[in-house]
Amino acid sequence: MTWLPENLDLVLRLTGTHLMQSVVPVVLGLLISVPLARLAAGSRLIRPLMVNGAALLYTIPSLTLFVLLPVVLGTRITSIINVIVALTIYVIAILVRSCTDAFAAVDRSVLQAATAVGYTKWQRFWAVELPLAVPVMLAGVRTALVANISMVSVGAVIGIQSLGTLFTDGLRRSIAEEILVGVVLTVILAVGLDQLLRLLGLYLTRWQRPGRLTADSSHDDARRTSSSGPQPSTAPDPDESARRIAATGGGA
Amino acid sequence: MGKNAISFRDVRKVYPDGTTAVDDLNLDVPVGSLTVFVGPSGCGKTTSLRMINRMVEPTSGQIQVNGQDVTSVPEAALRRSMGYVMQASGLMPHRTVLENISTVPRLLGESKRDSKRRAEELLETIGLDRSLGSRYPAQLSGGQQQRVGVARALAADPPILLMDEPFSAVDPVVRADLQNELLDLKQRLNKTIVFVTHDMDEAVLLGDRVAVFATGGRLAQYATPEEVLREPADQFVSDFVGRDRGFRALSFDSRDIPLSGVLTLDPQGRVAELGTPTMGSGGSGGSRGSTAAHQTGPSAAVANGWTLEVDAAGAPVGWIPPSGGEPAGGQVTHRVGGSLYRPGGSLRQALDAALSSPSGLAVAVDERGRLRGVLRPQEIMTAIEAARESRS
Amino acid sequence: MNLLSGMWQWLTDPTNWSGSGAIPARALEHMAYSGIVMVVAIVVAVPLGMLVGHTGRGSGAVIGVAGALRALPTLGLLTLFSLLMGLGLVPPLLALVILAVPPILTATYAGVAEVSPAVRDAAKAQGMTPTQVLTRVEVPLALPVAMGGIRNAALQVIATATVAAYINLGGLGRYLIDGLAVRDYSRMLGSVLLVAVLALATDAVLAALQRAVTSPGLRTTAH
Repeated sequence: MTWLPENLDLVLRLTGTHLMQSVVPVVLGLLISVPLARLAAGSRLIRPLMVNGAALLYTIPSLTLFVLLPVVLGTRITSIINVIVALTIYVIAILVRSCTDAFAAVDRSVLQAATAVGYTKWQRFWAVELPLAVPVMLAGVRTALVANISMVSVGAVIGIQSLGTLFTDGLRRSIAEEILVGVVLTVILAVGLDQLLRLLGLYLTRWQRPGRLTADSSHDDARRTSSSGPQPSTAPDPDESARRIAATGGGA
Repeated sequence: MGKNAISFRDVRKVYPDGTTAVDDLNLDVPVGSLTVFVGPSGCGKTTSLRMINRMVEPTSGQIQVNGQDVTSVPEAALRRSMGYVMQASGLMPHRTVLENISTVPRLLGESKRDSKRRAEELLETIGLDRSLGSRYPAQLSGGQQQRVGVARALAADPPILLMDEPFSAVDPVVRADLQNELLDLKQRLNKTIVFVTHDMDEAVLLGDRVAVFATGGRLAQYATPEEVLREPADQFVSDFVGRDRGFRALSFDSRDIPLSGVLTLDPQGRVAELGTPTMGSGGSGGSRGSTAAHQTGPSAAVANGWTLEVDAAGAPVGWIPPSGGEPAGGQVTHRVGGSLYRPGGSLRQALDAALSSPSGLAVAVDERGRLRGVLRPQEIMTAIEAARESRS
Repeated sequence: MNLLSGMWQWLTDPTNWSGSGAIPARALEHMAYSGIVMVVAIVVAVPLGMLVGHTGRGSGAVIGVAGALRALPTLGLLTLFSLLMGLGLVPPLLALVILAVPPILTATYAGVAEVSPAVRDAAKAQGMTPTQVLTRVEVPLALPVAMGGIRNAALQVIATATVAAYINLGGLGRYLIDGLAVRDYSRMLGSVLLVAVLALATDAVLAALQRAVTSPGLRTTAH
């Protein structure tokens, strides 16, 4: 266990650039996706177009974009800008869909009530729609971030610096410890940032937590497995959406 | 009372968390009867039903079907031998209507062709068009789904039908249809039916016998609907049956009530007194004005000033209030509405028809909906009083 | 833009289309790697997901493990395994299986777990045995969702199988690594374009398959 102490500087520098390459695309992607999704959610015409377009973007392998983008952007092939742009595209592919679902799932009667008490459309968006869409939206953001952290390392194959550099360098020099440090740090980044977002989500959805008011009286008929009633609720619960998105997210 | 199809013997169900769902239940369901389990939420009525086909196992006690302990039959075989209809239709979303109906026959090993033919017949039995057979559940309305649920339960022609609040999720109009059709099916098919509901009116309407369950899983009363309404066994039953129970109990009495005549106005603008010759302008022979006159003659018209408008066929349309001889066009008509007294109707129907009528007079019609005359409240009350005296 | 025309020349050069190291052979290798990985991942993940979804037991553990696996960088595993286990097919295929299992597992689990309790209860009440409930109700209802997970896994595997060339194996990634070594950018572009075409084609086939296993009764309810 001597490699890490001797190369702490390198590891810190790579962790920093790895973080930048995974977090910046999420921020950029979110800024682009939210207006697109709001547009799509309100339109029967644009919605399938946008959701299908996003799905198509998603099928493009990340390495393809890493190699193709320098041609389009005029960057060097080892530039981290290629990664940031490529991953922003993936984030949009994931978020346009989950944000569209999020806006579509907002209770219509709440929106009508907001209009009825005198919110303008713009005020209503910021004060009502956006906060109510957060839970479903956040599930998408978490998926995108974890996927990014894993995908950034792939760039190392063509020489883009990141924690992935520890993998290629470790293999070339046959230092298992170097690779292991890279794997562990990648997992720590992924889990750590994911938990941070989870906490942020809890803060943003304080209104959703069950309070003491809703003491649930259990009765015998509620025990039946069939007690869920004739129609399943149409509002997706956030964990459920997280599962769904998790089942369709992440690419390398 | 004949043989029992289902018997509960000292049945208890206690859940692991300590709640008692069913407490020492003893109850016999006669062959061919429609028995309703009724009670509030948490009274153990559904649990009791689900113990019959072993969807729930009792903590202690025994349940017999046709004299045989249900635990002596493998679960799946037992369930295939009984029809089961539930609140949410529980149809398989990935299968067509016909495939859904054929579920149990197919499980019993019947050929695809035979079970499909039978399913098509059943669609008609339950009042659905054959063309719906190739649809999927999501393409049906709630009421249609519920009918398919009933057809599925009937598909293997089981002698016993278990129905767990089957009509509670559909709107009142559809529910009334489904209830009438169930009574009709019961007449035709001769099944033993156990029906769970929380609605006392539904229990009274459908049940040959009603088992009222109290909170905590106690069987409070098991009797005919009339007995439950007239003589509640305890405070719980009388509370559950509710304040209208005296009124509801009138459902079980019907008597002859003398008809009275009434002033009528036909579409041609002719005013007539029902039971007397036409008074208005001649027109086409005056036959319309006396359409109802061939019925057993009502006595002299009630003179409270109200006129009953009738259509060309002689069916009542609305009441015109007494208003000092204004022309017909300018008069306000109050709709007669749904509450009409039909031949053989109960005293409850008669009283309700009177109470819901703007003129205070109950409108009596014949089987084809044509006006026969009116009933005065005094005479309805006399009939109610006579019925009470004849009982005691 | 001369890069693009260079790529076009490389792609249309007949010598690149015949022989042992030619495009068809590399594509076949690529598909073979991906195929083996998908078969193994499906065999592991689908029954496990069905079991957990059916019994409801261990669902928390499955979601947790799948989430943790997702955080593992495939390139890191691939290099680590090669270093520890030596060269050969097993290390990269193992790393790719670890990549493919989570999406298939969570989707299969979700598909089964999402079957409406009322439908499950009704199936039982009609007299289906637990096995019949699984095979006749839960599996057909879960299949479309599980197929979504399989599609997603296949996309990731095909994309990531490119890096197998990094540890001296074949596949379409070979051109990327070799091109990089000699600064032949046209060849690199051609390589990644072929991978993209393969990914798109596979996804289209799987999408058709997904449609085929989805009962029309479910399609009408899909929003």
